[in-house]
Amino acid sequence: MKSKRGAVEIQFNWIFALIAGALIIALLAGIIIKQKNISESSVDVSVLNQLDAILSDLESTPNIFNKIRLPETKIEFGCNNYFVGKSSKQINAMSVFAFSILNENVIAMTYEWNMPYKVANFVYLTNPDARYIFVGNSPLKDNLANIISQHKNTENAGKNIAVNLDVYDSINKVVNKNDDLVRIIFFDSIDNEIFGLPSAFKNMKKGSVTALRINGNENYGQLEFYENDKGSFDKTGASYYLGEATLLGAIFTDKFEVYNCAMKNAVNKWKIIIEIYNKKIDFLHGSAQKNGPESCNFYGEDNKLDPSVSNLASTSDPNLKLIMEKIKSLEKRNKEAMLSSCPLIY
Amino acid sequence: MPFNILKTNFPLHYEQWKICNDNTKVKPKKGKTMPKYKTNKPRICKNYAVRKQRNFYMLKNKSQIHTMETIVILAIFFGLLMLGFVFYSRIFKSSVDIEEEKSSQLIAVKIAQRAISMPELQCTEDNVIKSNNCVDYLKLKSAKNILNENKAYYYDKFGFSTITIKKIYPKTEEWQIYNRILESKDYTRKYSEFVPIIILNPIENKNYFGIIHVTVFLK
Repeated sequence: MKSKRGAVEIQFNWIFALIAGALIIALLAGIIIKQKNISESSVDVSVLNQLDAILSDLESTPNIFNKIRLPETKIEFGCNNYFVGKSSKQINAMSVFAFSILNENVIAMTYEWNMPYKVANFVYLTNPDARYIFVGNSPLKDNLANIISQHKNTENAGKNIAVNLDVYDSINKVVNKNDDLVRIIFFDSIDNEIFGLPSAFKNMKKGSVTALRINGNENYGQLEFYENDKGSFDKTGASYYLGEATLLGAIFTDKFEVYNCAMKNAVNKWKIIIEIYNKKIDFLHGSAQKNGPESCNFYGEDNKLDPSVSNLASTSDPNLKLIMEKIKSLEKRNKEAMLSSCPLIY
Repeated sequence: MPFNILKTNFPLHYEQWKICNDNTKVKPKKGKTMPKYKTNKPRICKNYAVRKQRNFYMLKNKSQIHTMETIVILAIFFGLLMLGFVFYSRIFKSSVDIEEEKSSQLIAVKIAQRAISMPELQCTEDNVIKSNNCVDYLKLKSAKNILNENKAYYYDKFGFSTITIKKIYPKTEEWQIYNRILESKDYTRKYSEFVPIIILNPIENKNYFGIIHVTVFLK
């Protein structure tokens, strides 16, 4: 009888202590998990706001080459938006050509797109771990490699900031340097012998090797986007470029959708800028007619770009060639205005 | 009757014994010694079941007191924990509100900077920016209607705001280049920002003094 009394009491106490302890631990664990989720969301929103401010700043400053350090996070770029964790932001009015997945270290570069008047500063964001390989014998290859290197050398001399870029004459010379992400740019690869997935990368996982095939000159041309799958390249999309800035955008972006959306934004903005400059030409024309001098009486309809050129419904070479010719003639007219001490068109 | 206190002439642990009036002694439990009674003192034999019930009541009282102590301690502990948590969340919320207020005030500045640096308005000479905070007079006259026609495109940059450029000197003139407002019942805060600018007339090659006025509406 003595043992029963003690035994029941002790057992009951133990059961009660275990239940109470479990409840306390569960409550504290719930608080900790909730706080962790809140902190992660808070960091994501903070990174989103920081990146938004950085992109705004970059967009207003041309010829920048910089390394951005963000909190440890993963940023995914899509069509007209980017995601940091579960938070996202739209970028419909900006032309950002970004690598689809970025980490806390980001290389940022800006370059003006002049058609012929300034339309926008394109922002290029890339992953320092991504390796860019230029393959071909075209002078365009060397020109673009110089542009990327010049940015590095002039803006940040002495600093350890560089796009991981290798230049080869032939695809057979390309070697694997144990890279996780590779982007291969083929210049003038109409000849299919030049184009293809190098044997050094045949065993890499799907999507880790992307390619861009360029057919054209420094002003305009056609683009084809590829992605590796089962030891060969699969075509993911085709587009065009107009000017060096858009070509650089196609080089830095690894996904066709991101490039396509950024180009559409850029072209929409170009349409608005064309309308503004066409009206400015009307004002200049009216003023020249009214107040002279005679030497400045050349602002006319032939100086205007047709806003519908921005539609570019057909991206065939003849259309692009016509557009570039018109742009060149406008550049020439602006230079004439400068030499004649007349008000400039742009 | 959980907290009844049993009244007895015998010390409590003796309740476990069975005592009879026929002078028979019941062997006590191991570890307990027989009390020393005077001889011939009558002993009452009680029903074992009743005694056991009484013993049971006493057992329940003791552990229940102990349990109630534990419950009260836990209740106080949780109460203090909740109090601390509420206090912490209030402080955290007030610091978040302060940060939100700061960032809201910066939004107007950010929009003003974006507006000034737009290629649609910037002064350029052969695509070279002439000076900071400079707006081309002819572009401004051209852009006024065009930007308002493309509000959807500029919403990402300017949100719910109004952007007005005013020429102050020598003559006054005003252009509202962007206007997307919220109804008074839909916004909770409104911030204004004024930034001085130069307005360049490329025909006359003259500079005018102006300001850009940005008003931001926040929900």
